[in-house]
Amino acid sequence: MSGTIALSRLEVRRALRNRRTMFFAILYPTLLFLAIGGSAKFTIDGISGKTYYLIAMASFGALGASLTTNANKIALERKEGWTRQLRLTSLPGGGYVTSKVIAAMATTVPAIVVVFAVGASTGVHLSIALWVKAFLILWIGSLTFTALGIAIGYGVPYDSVQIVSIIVYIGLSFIGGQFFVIDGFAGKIAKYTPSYQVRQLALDVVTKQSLSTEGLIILAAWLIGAGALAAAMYRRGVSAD
Amino acid sequence: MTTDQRGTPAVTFDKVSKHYGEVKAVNELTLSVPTGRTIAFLGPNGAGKSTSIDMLLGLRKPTHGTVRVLGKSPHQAVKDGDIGAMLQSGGLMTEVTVREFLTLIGKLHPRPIPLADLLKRANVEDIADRKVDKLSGGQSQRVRFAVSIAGDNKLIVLDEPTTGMDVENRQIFWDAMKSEAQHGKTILFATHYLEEADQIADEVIVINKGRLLVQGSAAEIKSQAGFQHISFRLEGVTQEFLLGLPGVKSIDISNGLVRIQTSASDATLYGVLDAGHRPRDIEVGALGLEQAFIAITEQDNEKTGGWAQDAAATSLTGELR
Repeated sequence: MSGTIALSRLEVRRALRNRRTMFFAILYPTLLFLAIGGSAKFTIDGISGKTYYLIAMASFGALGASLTTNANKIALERKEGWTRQLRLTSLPGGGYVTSKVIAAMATTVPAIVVVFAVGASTGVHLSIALWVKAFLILWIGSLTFTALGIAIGYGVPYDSVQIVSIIVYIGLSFIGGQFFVIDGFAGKIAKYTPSYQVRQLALDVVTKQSLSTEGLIILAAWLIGAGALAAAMYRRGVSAD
Repeated sequence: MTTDQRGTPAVTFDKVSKHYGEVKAVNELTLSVPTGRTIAFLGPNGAGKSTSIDMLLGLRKPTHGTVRVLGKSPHQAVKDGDIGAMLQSGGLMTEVTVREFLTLIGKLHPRPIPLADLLKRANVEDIADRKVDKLSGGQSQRVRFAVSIAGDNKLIVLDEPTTGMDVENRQIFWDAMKSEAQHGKTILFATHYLEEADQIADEVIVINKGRLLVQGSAAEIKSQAGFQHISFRLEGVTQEFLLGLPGVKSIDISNGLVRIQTSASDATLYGVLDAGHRPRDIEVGALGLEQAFIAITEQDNEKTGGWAQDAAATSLTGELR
């Protein structure tokens, strides 16, 4: 247990000082929020463009923080034998993957909080309770992306991991409405994706609407499904290492 | 620690086989490694060295047979912190400093040695604050070595440890390793540099085609190869005369210096003397370990070339039935 904690702490520290990770998790979504959300004068269904993009960009950052870094790192570290070396220590079998989940959860925190802080300072006014509730939905919902990242890291050959994780990352962001509002026919399909539901549920919170049961079920199903996929890919990958 | 470990070998392989499809990487390998010694593990490419080391470390499971490390399963020995291992390449965490990395490795060991001691013993004090992924090949090897001695292990396993090191670092590395051996640790290393094996190992294990070929001291292996060399200065002898001497395998004459490879150095030399010659600067010695190694693996290949294929075919049909 202490080994898993030690590894997790170093994983978190390493992720938080990685410029590339921090760019995609924090800087890029924040700049996009300032560029689009700051000047968005439109309203959608009575929701201001600024509020929409606040949640969209916080969820975009959370998605980046939880998905791509893990996928790439796991594939690289398996290829370079770090996972093999860890098997020669007293670290418990699941310690490595546990530390990856913890590192993703840790990097997701600033990804959400920084966009929220910038939003708050540029005129989005919410009660503390709503900020916290929205944060929790984005944060816990992002576990789905963490699981997908682990599944990709273990399931996709090293050569293709970068491209696969970018496609999933960008694809989920487009269909989830992170870049622009998805409605009409596309919206009917999009609502079955986790990126759409994470964003929509958090948006429902900040616009003081009741959370959609359907949305919660879809997101929970994704979380369980992606978790099971990650577990299966992990088991397959470990036995091949 | 009330159990008396004396008498328990460091490593035993009991009829261990590892098959990859129809390829028998390791074929009924049986061997025993005593504790407290430094052992070189040699074999030509494809002899099954890496597979054997993987099984010894619990990274792969044998198809048949049993591997024990200090009387335990390899997995248990690893979890108990009994084995320190240095892999051939990779195996390091990136984007962290050497100090952070080795601190972590210490926390992953049940009985870590203090970090300051570790940095000193592995000769990595000068690079402790460098990022692991910014190190040169030789520096990375030093960090890998530090990993293998980061805890109070009983057995240190090194796979090609000095690959990529320059001569000076190689010297430093083996000095450090000798001091580990003086702490009573068993050291098992695979290497391509037979000179290293000759100089450093108390004992040498040679495997070929997945089986144990020979185990003993370097001197024993050299004599098992069945060849010695004789050299002396003598003018006016003919090739025919030298080739006619007992035991002679090959000769080389240049400027009065005669070099002979023979399977019976005494008889060869007596033959020269009995013919009335009085050679000068006589040297008689064993072959180097490298030549001995080549000789015994070639002998084995000639002897077993047909047999190994027959055996493979037999056991394959056996499986089909």
